[in-house]
Amino acid sequence: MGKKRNALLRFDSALYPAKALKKAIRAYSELGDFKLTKVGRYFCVEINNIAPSQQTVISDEFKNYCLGTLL
Amino acid sequence: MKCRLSTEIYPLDAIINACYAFIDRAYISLDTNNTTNSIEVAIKSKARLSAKQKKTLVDDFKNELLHSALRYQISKNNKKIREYIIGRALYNPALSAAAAPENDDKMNYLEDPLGIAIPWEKKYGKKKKCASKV
Repeated sequence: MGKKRNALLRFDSALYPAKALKKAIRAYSELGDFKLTKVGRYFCVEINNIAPSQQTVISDEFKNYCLGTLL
Repeated sequence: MKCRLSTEIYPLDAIINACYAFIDRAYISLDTNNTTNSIEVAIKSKARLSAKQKKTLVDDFKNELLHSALRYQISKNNKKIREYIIGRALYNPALSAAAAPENDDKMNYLEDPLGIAIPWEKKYGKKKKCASKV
């Protein structure tokens, strides 16, 4: 079972502050490698080394967690 | 499923609150559209749903959005009075001075001007038994 697989999530910087995303990355850091970059008005979160079977779930749950950090 | 919400109608805080209320049922992500001053909410159900159930989910979300917007509006309208009440309760030194008894440090607790420490029997005496018994 190869573990290297990428997922790229985009977050609008007008809605998601970098602080919230960093907090979410810290919380999810044990599940894979997360890398935050800024491209234009979007923050891009690149997720590597997550189990292929969990890629969708982790990405989606990560999005929800980011939403939760906005409050 | 996507919803486009105007920020002129729904405040951003209300949208985020409504989304948060749905994160147990769906995966939600937000995006802005600067040209139309709107926010796009992408809702992806966690469970596999039929078309009708998906529509119900979106409709529920819209209702929650209205609810959140109303709560936000009420909270905004009552902000001043809320702050006043909390400020009055916690920080007003005049209030705490008024609540404290005057000359507190001069009071001698051994004195009993109202006779509170005197037992009832001693103060009023024992009741006399009725002389005439039937």
